[in-house]
Amino acid sequence: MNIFSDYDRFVKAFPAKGALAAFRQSGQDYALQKGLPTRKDEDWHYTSVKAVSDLQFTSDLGSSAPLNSDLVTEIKKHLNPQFTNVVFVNGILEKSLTDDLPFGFALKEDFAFPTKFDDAFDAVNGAYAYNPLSISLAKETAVEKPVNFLFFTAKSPSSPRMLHPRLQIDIGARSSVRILESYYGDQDSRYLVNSVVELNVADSAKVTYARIQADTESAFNIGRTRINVEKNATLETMAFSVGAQLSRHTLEVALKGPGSSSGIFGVYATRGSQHSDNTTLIDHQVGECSTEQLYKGILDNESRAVFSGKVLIQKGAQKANSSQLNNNLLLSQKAEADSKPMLDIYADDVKAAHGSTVGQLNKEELFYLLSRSIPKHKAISMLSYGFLSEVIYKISDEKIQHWLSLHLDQAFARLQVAEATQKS
Amino acid sequence: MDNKSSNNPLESYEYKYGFTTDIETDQVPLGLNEDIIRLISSKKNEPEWMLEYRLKAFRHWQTMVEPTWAHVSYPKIDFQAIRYYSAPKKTKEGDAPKSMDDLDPELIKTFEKLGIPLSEQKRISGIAVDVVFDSVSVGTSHTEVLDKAGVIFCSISEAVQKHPDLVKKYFGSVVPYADNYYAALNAAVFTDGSFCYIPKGVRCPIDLSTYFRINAKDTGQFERTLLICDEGGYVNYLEGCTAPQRDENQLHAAVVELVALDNAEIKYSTVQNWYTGDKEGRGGIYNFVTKRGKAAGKNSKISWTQVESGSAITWKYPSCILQGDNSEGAFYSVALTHDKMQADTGTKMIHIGKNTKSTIISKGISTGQSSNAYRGQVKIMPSAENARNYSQCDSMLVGDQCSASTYPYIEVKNKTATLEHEATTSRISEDQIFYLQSRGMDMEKTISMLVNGFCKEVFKELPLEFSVEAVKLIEMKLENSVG
Repeated sequence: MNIFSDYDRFVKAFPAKGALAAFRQSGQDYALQKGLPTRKDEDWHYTSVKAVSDLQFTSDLGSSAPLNSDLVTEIKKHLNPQFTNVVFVNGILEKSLTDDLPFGFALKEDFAFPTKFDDAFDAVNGAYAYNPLSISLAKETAVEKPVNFLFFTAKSPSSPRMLHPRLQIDIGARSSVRILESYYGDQDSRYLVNSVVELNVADSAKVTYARIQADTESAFNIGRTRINVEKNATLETMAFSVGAQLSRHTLEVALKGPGSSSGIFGVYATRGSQHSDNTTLIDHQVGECSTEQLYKGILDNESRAVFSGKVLIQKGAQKANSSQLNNNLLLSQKAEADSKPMLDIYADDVKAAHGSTVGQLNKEELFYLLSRSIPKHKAISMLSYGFLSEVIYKISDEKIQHWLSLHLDQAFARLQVAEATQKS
Repeated sequence: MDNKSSNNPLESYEYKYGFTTDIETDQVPLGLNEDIIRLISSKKNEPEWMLEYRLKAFRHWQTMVEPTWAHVSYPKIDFQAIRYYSAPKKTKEGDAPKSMDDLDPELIKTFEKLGIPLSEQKRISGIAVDVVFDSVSVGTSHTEVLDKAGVIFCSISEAVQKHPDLVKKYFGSVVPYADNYYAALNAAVFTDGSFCYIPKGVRCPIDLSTYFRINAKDTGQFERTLLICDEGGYVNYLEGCTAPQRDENQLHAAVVELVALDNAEIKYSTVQNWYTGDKEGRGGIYNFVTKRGKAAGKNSKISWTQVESGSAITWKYPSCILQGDNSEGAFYSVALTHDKMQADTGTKMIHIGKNTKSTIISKGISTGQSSNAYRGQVKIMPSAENARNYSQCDSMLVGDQCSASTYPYIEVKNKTATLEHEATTSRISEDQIFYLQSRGMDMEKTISMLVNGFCKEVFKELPLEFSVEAVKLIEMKLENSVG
């Protein structure tokens, strides 16, 4: 029994016709043939999904009864009035909590289903696709409010739920927009989120994309984001990960037109026995693009974090300029950081550099704070917070900066830095 | 700087070691099975335990799958089409040459061509050499000086006969036969190699060196080197290799094991110049080697220095297991690839002991249509308090048809560890070229000077003779690399 085995029940409960039905079947076929990745797959070397494959999930969506008021209060905690919120509860759009999309957005008639899958999770997402959302933003439109696609998972009465959100957004030429994709869950509930998000950024558009993963600490979050970047576009992305027992975010950025510039950022804070994996692929298909990558994380208790980033500069992508940096801070003796920054370069006139560090807090900085009579656990917390907030301030939008800082505060409140201090 | 493929680098560079030597050889039939292994073992008059070890390795090898994860591509190797033993025929059956003078004159000529002074009269380099020709060691020089110091330096087959205790104790202790596919194959069919033991407190009076040459057609070379440096010992070990020019690919799957006990230090340097294949990528050596050192004792040190400028495919990761407290490991590497060569090389540093330190400096230069990858792992085990690692991997690209990759694997399980990894990829700076040219240097000299400067950090780690050879080798390979 695994995540593939509920397929027949799902297709009966949520029937589909035409392209969607065919897409579901192709996903299921691929997933069954390929199986979930194991640590023998080079891309999953440091992350085992055995915990996921051992569980039986239900593909039930939505809830039979209307939302009760407790749940609504709980969900509302995660809404930001400064954003346009689009809320999905248990995989189904909850119209009562959703704001109107700003001017310029349109629902697309047909979903452009991909013809191939990257791995079994990508395919399983296709197999259980339910009403995938495809929207477009007209050209030359500046959207003022950030749009937040919020996915909330409630407790399930039976076996844990699995949700497979799929979202496709086309951003028109010379438009500017900020998009958030956020994940939360009900208290200690256990569930699996397996998302696929695709962004197509047209010429000279300016896009900020943040993925906030603040799931419950018994949840699993496997996410994939594909971004195609055209000529002269500007892109900022943030993979913010503080929740889930096991999380993995795969970010693929394909640079398809010259002159674009991208900032790829990530923040992770793990505690307990959490496992957080960030995998990135920056694919310079054409020349004259610049990318900057910075992922930083702090690890407490027995948690583990993985960063595996690849920069590919293809033949002919001359004048590419790429940097990549991953810094890890280990707060506990039993935490583990694995870092695999990779360069694959097939063009000669390029600048590419990467770096990776793993270490502990600077003793002098700590001493300075202690000498100012700040208690040790607080000093550690302050320094680690400063370490991470550097990345948050890389995002140019202040509203998003602020929103991310709030999430970081909550995560820090949970970190048991004090306890770790006494032990070490 | 213009690097069109039409005036591709290294067009006129030719392999100068590509001759073959016409020597009568003693060979076993092609192919691999238990009988061949028994035959090799009996030819070497090995004790029963060695044969058992070989067979165990062979049986394990049969259960293994050929690894494919490296960033290299080659047609599948037919292990049954390789000859696993080939030795120059001795004048009388079973009669080993007593001194260098008894060797086949053809053989001595071969090594003179290669510039290896075998004859003891010519003490040109003052280095003790063990020469491995195809499958067997043909002679060791400077035995007197070494005997005086108590250093054992001989072929591994001789060591199996004369020093079985040492061999039994350390053989396979660093690279067990089950380690990987090629190590298992080597353990089953290894034919010869060097053995060296530095006793307690001895600083080896002269540098030691092994010279490998593949001569016969269809043969693979599977040599095995075991180097033990007892407490407080020191040794500087050099290794060189060449092969004749042939159209088909030849396999070289060696295993090198180093053991350093308390306060011992081993410096192991390699200049690898196997035949690279021709411009179309025909022929050349597949160099699939397992090299590993165990810094087992306190304050022990192991350093690997390599200049990889040959082989059609290089696939090796000289590694250090830093087990003793305060032990140190180092890896200095220059890998130059040209035409259709492929290299996937790097190191592994496994930190186990407290206060262990490792340094990795890797320089890759790719030209022509070659591909050059650095792959390295730094692993800090929970027991390795205050471990320190510094890694730097720089790649240089000459021409727009080649590729450079960097795949570091960093695994940290102890919070007191400090790790830094840095890598850059770029081509030769136009400003530097302009500066040197404005001083009246021609393009060729300019490039060779800049490349040598790029590699300097590694070259300075090589012993003097090797350092000169390495600079020359790189210069030679870069001739006409720019138009």
